Amino acid sequence: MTQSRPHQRRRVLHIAADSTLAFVGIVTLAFILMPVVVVFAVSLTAGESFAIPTGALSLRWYGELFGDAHWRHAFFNSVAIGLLSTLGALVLGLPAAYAATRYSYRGKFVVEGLALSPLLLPTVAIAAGQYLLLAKLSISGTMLAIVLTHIVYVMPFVFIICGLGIAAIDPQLEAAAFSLGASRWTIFRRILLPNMLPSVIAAALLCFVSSFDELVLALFVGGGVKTVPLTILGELKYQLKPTIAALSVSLSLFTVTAASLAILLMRRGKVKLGAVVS
Amino acid sequence: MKMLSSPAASRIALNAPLVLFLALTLVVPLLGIVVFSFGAEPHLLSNYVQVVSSRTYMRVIGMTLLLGVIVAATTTALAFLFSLWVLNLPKRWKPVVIACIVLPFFISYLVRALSWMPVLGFNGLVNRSLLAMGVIDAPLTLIYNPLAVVLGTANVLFPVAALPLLAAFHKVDRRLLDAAKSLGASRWTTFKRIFLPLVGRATLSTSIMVFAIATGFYITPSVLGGGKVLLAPNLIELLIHRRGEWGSGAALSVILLLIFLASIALAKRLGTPRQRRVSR
Repeated sequence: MTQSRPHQRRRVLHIAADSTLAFVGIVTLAFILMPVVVVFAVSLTAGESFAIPTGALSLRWYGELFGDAHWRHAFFNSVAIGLLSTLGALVLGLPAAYAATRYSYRGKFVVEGLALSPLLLPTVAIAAGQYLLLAKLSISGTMLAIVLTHIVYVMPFVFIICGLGIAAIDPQLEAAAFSLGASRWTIFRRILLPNMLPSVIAAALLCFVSSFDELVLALFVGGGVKTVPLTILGELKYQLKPTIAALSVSLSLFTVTAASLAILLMRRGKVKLGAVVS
Repeated sequence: MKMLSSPAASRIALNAPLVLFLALTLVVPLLGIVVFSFGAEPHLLSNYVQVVSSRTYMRVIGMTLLLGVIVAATTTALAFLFSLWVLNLPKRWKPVVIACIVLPFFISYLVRALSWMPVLGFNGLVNRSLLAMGVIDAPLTLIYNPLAVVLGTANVLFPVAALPLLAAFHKVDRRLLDAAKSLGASRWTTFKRIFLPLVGRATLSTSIMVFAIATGFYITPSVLGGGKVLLAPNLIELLIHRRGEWGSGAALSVILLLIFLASIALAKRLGTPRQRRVSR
């Protein structure tokens, strides 16, 4: 009996600590998900302003988005910049990511550091420098300028994700193909690419979305080229419309769908590979 | 077709395109900024002297550092408690919770910053509820102030703090905690004497990482500060891009880069948590 009192007190304390922690955890989750919920709600408003709907819901802003020439123009610009940057980053990044994964050599950390630094360095500092250079070369204010800066900006994703994909491929497969007389190009096309395709798709998706959403670089070097984030920024100065929310939700849905498809592909790919090996 | 069979040659061939490209598009621009930051007249460091002697610039730098510290402290504290909660969650719930904190990545930084307007704005959710409840008579100004910037930045940087902490917490050997418990230690003692020393360094280096990234944020402060909260990245954009004042803008950029590099070096010395993807 004498022992049960402090014991009980301790149990009460534990329950109090656990419930406080659970409360903080759930409130944090709500805080983190707030932007997602708000944007989704705003996209469904029937009203005129960028606000959470109080009355009726409608899909009119989705219609507005696809009907407005101004938005369509910005959308096509951003898609073109996204595709070209992704392609550029893959073409330049894949060989170096392969070398970094397969070989060890002096100066490797320099290549890796260069490729990964845009992930962390303050974008404004990079943007300012690139603006200076591109202005000197008088290609500032063109789509090409944005694409060049975006290739640098999305390179880390190619390096990290494709590097992981390459590391997962057994080097003996290449050695076997090589000893059977396959050329480098054949090895890349027939062995490396099929095996690392899921990681390439994942990296490409991340590159495209990051480029599509990028604002600071486009603001500095884009000049008059209107991308989607720059159009949003322009609208911010006058009046925000719910079209932005509709656009954001559409793009997120596209990304989530594409990512799920990529994961699905990856699973199926693994099964196929397993069947071949066994 | 065995022309690239020498390993050295193939390494060069594989690396050359990327290295040449990044040298031109990343190294040269950053060096250019450093070169531009040193003025020719009246002396080499005149741009830096101008920045340091200007009260406005120094206030901007001070504000950037202060908000960076506040964001780092609050985000890391929140992420710490959150990770503690997730650690003891049933296994099947963990992926769901982690998916939830990654979900906002699918919305751009700009739109995530904008999403606070319908909540905190003049006619926003908070003001409408407070008015309806009769707590206030006139709407409050909840946006376009440092607090809104901190809120928005903490929101965006939360996964950057939470993901390394979750990894560090899950690496802690459960048997150590069980051993302490079986030896009669209370939960608080186990936490303080066993768990905290094991995750302390990771927590500290994570918070420095958050600070470093927060000081480079441009979009969130420019939307939620609404021109009223001027931070270093916004001032750099204003000086270089809109005013063409290259000297002071470049000097400020170099100062920002130095603050960033010093913090990263510090975080690394404390034992780096795995670096997560962050973009601005």
